[in-house]
Amino acid sequence: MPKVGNRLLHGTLDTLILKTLSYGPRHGYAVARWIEGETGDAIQVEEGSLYPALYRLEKRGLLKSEWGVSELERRAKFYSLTDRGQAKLHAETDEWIRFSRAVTTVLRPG
Amino acid sequence: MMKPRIVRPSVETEVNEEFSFHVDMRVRELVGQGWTEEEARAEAVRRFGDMDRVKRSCRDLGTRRDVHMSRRLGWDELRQDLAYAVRQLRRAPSFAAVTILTLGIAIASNTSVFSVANAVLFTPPPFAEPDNLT
Repeated sequence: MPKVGNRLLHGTLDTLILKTLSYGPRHGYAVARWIEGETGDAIQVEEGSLYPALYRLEKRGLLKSEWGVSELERRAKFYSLTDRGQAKLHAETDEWIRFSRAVTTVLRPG
Repeated sequence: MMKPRIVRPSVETEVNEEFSFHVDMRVRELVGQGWTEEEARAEAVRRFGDMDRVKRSCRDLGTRRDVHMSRRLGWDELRQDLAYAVRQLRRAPSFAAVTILTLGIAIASNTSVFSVANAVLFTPPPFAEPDNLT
């Protein structure tokens, strides 16, 4: 099972996080579960990569965080996308599609 | 889902609380799959990996984030103050004119008096042994 931050390309996790948060604020655990769920558990998000990525993205102003109350009535830290994060997501998505198309073209059996 | 805002804790508390929330959520999920509470907790902690290392790097990133943020807030405040000052002056143009004129005249006269005093009184004349001039 591929693990993000390990074998997947550098920067992929950041983009996946931005994508997850484009649907609304979530706490870190929900971000991990959402990515795992969306990829049919094909990608397992490691905590050791997830949290540093969240903090780094917030430091760069692509995310913002706020303490709130979770669905289980517990204090939790919710992340959401900033305008800059939104713009970054669009740019990264285009870039990824171009890149993966190019690699596929090369790898496809001829 | 997002309810009233709670004051932001220190970076250290923030990281600790966020991670223990994560582990608790994982425990809950595993218990739901039939694990015992104890096994689930051990598994959740194991999956987290080297928690101390992750905490350290998050604390470091969080601290730097806060420095960035307070710096940005400082600039924002300064910009707001300047914008406010400009708006006030625009609203009272004659007051602004008098103020600018007053400051202008005051600074100009102060500068010229000092220049003269400096040349006449303080700077020694450009000769050798100026005390022996007759």
